[in-house]
Amino acid sequence: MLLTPSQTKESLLRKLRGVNQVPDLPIVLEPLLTYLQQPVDSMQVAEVVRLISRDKALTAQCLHLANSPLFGRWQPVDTVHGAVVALGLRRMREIATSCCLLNLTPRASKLDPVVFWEHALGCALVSRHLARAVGFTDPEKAYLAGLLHDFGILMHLWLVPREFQEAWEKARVAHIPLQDAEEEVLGVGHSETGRMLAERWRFGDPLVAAIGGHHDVAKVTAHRSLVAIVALSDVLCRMGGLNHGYSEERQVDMVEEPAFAVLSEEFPAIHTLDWERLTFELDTFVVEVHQLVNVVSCPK
Amino acid sequence: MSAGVVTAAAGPGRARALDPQLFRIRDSIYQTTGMFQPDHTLRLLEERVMRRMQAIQVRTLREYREQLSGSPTAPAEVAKLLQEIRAGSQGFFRHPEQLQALRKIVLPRLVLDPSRKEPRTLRIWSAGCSTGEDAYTLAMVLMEESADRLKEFRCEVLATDADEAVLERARAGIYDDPSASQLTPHLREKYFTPLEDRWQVTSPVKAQIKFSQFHLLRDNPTEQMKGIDVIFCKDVLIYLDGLDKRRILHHFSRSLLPHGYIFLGSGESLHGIQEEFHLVHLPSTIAYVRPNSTLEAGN
Repeated sequence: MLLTPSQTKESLLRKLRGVNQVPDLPIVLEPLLTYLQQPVDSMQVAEVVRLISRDKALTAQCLHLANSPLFGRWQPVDTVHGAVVALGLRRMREIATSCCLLNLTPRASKLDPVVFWEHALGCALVSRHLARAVGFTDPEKAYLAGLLHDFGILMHLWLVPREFQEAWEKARVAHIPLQDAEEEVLGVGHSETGRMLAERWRFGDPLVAAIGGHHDVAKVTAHRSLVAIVALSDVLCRMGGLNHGYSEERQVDMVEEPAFAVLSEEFPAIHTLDWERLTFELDTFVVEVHQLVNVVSCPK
Repeated sequence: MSAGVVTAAAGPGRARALDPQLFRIRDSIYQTTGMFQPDHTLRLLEERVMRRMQAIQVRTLREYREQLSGSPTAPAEVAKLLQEIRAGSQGFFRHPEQLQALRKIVLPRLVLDPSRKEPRTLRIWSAGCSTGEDAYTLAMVLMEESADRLKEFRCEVLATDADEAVLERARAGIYDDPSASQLTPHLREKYFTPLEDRWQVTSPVKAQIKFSQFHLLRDNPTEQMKGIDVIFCKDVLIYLDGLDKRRILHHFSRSLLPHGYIFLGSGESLHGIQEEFHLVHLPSTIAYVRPNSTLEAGN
């Protein structure tokens, strides 16, 4: 029997608070993810290479991604060291984190979890582009925040899969945002769940803000521009082909979005952004992300 | 956002990279026409550019790009390349995401708009309708909705084109197998009758449409072009220069009711000329909305 929303919320929060209830990070990913969260300046190339190379599948995934045009590379690289040297540590951090996230996605779910990974990767790419376009100082951080913004969905897939599936079905049938359906069915949306886990895993304040605030930017008090970038990118992806596996039936005026007002406070360049081009370019991402997922999720 | 390089597949053994000049040609077309071609379509663009290069005997992509801007013959060459790109793009129920957005979001919003006055009429204009496929598609969509959302509305499609010869074909409504396009066999049976080895649109569909000869630049809008809810204008504006586009958009702004919509062709935008309209995002497509604050329709 499915739990009521308040029972689900209570159960979810209990599991999140419990020491042993939160899914363990795979043994290879934990030190890698932890290491990758520190500033790029303090990372050592050899250590990144060593941590990635400990897992053959992860190594293959990283190489596929590193060779993808999405990461601006067209001279093939065939070793992790070669990839780090050619692409740089920042880019390699994005790639390794993307692959870690995919490997954290449970496969036993009735829902296709790859959909959520595709959305996350799409949002990461759009966030980085938007960050550059408006002059945000750290586009790589925007990429990471975009990649991890729906971290709470991953937790819902692990901790309350049946109830989460019901929420997703509700959202799909009613064509409404997943966050709204989660709040109704689970009693809590993925932004709140994600924020709690991100705090626990010490993701750092900017990422915690983006994960917890991307559905309610107006209430965010710190790292507001980063959160706004992720929120706008998220909406653009959900209205385009990199959504949560269904289309939301609504009309969006990006300029009227609360995140637009927040971002324009610090970055007036947003007023001259070419939204049409950004939207059309998203089509390219859709094709490339689909291709990439096929390759990365089952590397030879 | 462009990665700058497109290949057929990620990973080793990929296809050859595209010439960077193609990205510049793509950008040049976008700046001139507002039509954008995403990276994954650039192989097709390359083929079409090659055909044009052969036709005008240009040897390199760089030389061809120079032909597209700055020379006196540039507008004509851009138009010829666009014709290559758009060749064979006619058909019923093309751009299904636009039609879906029309049915699921735009029509409900228009119908429920509290500022809507009597009589309850809903009017769509297919501007530059050519041989009529889009206009008939819109009429069929409205007929499909008439049992439900639009049951208290009188619906009408206005279809105009400058070319009387193509309008004659549109009025006749006779086509090769229309289900070769996105039209389902079910809708073909419902809205077409067989005519030897071809198909003719049924009279009730035809009755929904008013075909008129109208030159968007030269003619003054008539009374029937006022009070319009939605304009579909595909593959028209991309062939015009900025001044002409603005003139047409100004006419459209006066024709549309407040909150009325414009839908353009695939990849088309009002890049750089959208002063009188707001861009809106709909599921997997975009449209432009006339804000309430511009001139009242018909003024």
